[in-house]
Amino acid sequence: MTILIKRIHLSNFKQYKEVDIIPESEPGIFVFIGKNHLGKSNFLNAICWCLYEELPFKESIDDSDNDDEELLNKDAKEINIFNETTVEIDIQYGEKLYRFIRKQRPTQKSYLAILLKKGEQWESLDQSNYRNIIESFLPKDLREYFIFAGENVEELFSAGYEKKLKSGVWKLSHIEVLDRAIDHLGKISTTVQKFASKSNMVLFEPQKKKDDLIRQNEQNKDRFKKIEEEVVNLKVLRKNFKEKFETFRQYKNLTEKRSDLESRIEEIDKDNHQFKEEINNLITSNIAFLYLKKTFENVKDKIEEEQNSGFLPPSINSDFIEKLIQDNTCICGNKITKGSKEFNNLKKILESVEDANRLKPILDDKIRIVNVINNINNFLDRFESIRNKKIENSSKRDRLDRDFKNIKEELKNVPNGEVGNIEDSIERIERSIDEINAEKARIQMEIERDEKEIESLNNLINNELKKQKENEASIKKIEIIAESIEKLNKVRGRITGQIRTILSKNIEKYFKNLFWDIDDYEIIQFSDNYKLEIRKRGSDSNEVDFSKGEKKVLGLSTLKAIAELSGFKNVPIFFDAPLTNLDTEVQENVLKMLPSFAPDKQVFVFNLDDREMINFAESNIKKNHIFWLVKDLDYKRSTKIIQK
Amino acid sequence: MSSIDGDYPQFLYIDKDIKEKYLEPLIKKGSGTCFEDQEMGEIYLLGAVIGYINKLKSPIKSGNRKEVRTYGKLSDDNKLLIRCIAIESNNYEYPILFEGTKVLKLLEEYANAGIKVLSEKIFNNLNLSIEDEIEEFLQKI
Repeated sequence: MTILIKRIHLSNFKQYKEVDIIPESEPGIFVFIGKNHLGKSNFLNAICWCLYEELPFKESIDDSDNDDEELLNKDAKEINIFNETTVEIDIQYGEKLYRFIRKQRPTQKSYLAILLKKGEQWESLDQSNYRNIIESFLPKDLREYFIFAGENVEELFSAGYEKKLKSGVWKLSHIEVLDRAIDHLGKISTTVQKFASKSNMVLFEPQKKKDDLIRQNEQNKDRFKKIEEEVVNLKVLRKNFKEKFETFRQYKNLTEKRSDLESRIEEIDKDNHQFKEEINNLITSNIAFLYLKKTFENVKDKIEEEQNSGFLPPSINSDFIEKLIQDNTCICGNKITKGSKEFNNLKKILESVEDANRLKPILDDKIRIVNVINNINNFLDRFESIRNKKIENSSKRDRLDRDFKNIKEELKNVPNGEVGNIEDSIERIERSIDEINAEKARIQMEIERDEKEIESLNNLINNELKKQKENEASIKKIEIIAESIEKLNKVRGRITGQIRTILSKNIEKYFKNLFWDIDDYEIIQFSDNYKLEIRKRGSDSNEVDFSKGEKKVLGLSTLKAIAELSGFKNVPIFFDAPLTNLDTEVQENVLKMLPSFAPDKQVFVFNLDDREMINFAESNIKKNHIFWLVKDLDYKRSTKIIQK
Repeated sequence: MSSIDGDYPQFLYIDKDIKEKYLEPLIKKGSGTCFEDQEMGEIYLLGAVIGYINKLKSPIKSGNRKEVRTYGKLSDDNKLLIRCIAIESNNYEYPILFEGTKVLKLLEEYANAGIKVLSEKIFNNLNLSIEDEIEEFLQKI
């Protein structure tokens, strides 16, 4: 991608009070001509300061007016010691236009801003990207290959140059990109290896466990399904039974009533049985007396009659009569004779009294008879009472019997125990449903638990399989990476070899073009380590002791060769004093070479206003490509840049 | 009182045939009658009462006398019952009470006849309710 400098603006920087350069936006030579001390080197410093915050180029020693330490333009300082120094560079990189702005106030640190043009606006970029942006097209490390002072070109081959040169060339050729890629691939390979080696689990056990669980789970699901069907059937059955129960419920009340009647009847029967036993006991112990009740009453009456008549008990003492008979005395006190009528009467009375005396116990019988009659009456009362109770019970029982018969009639089509059976059945079904539901819940839990475990095993197995696949893929990756690294290394080897060869050939070509005594050298090339090998014709040694001018020619040849490298091809070049320290012949050669030095890029050449350069510029460079550094008439210690 | 029945015979008798054919079956265990397992002397007296109130007498056949009960072991009320039957059947001539043999013989004859009546009534109608009988009897008196 072409890199073009679109504008350079300096404000209060060193000799420049205010300068705004807008070079033509195309590749070509741009020549800046000016006398000593006008600030050619500081113009390059302004670019380096803006981009890298460094001032690598020295002004001439006798430039007493411009102190290296001080950035601020003297005239500006005179106006205000706190004036700000600013350098702005607009650089087009492909389609993008960047603006780099660095500013600094005296005693303060400088700061950089990078803007990107979007439409008509400039937008600030994230500061964290600044370094990447600069490094992506104007790397600081390679600065000396595109912003350089001709006076110092020979220093390209100072001690230890090989390493620096090699690194620079490789950077320009983007070899480091290859190196980074190889390094990155190596790191990836290491990481992949690290993870790949971790996955070595044996999957047999978890797989077996998972299979067992799946089998068990399927069985449980079957069982669950069957249970659900069973529950549905039971619910249907329950519904049927409940419907039946509704039908039979009215009978249930009747059945209960029937049972109640039965128990009441049973109670009455029990009472009756007790009455019967009591009556039987009463009868068997009293029947004979009962049958004879009239006789007892008659006898009692007769005895009372006897009592009332005075026969019982006898009112006359038999001893008294016996004494009268013995004394032959009448009751009235008169003497009587034996065998007389009165005497015989006394004897009869005595016999009667003796009979009555013998019958006296009958009076005790009367008392007993009265008791017996009382007992009979008691019996009869008791009998009557029991009879009445029996009658009462009997009528009660008749009523109960009637009710019982009626209920029985109503229930005649209802099988005994049907209601109870239905209730029992419903209860049994409810119990079964509860039990089955509990079983269902248990199985459901088991299924869920197993499914979770299966899922977790699946995850484990899948992860492990994935790991194993990844492992395999990783191994494959490692192989591919190794292969790629090998290929990249080969490519790298080829590229570095080619670069070194091209560089060697170009150096040889440009050196010979520039050098005045072409045939003195037979070998000019770089070794693997970028050590420059130059052998003079007829010499055995590759070591050549160059003069300062020869070193400068070598340096210019190298810069030209490097500029040819593809990675560096479009980077603008800032070239200060290319002719300094060169012999006249070489100066001519350099000037001859200059137009074709870098045809694909902007080349900014800064040189003294010597005749050779002025002639060269006026003959070979487009007029609008020539810039003149002149004293600023407005600011006596400042330089301005003009185009004639 | 002992003076009245002091000379009374030791036992009450019944005709052997009546005893075996009518009295014993009435009280036999498992007979199914209302007198099952009752004391023999009690039923004997009931038989005598039934004979008496129905004016039925049946002398014991000669050589067929069988003891039923010891007189002395009868209760006072039962002895009173015997005396009352004797007094009433003898037209309230109390002296009969001093003739124990007569009194008990009279009782034997009534019992002999009455037991047969009782037995026939019971066995002819095993469902006979003695209670109803009593009721009927009470209606009569």
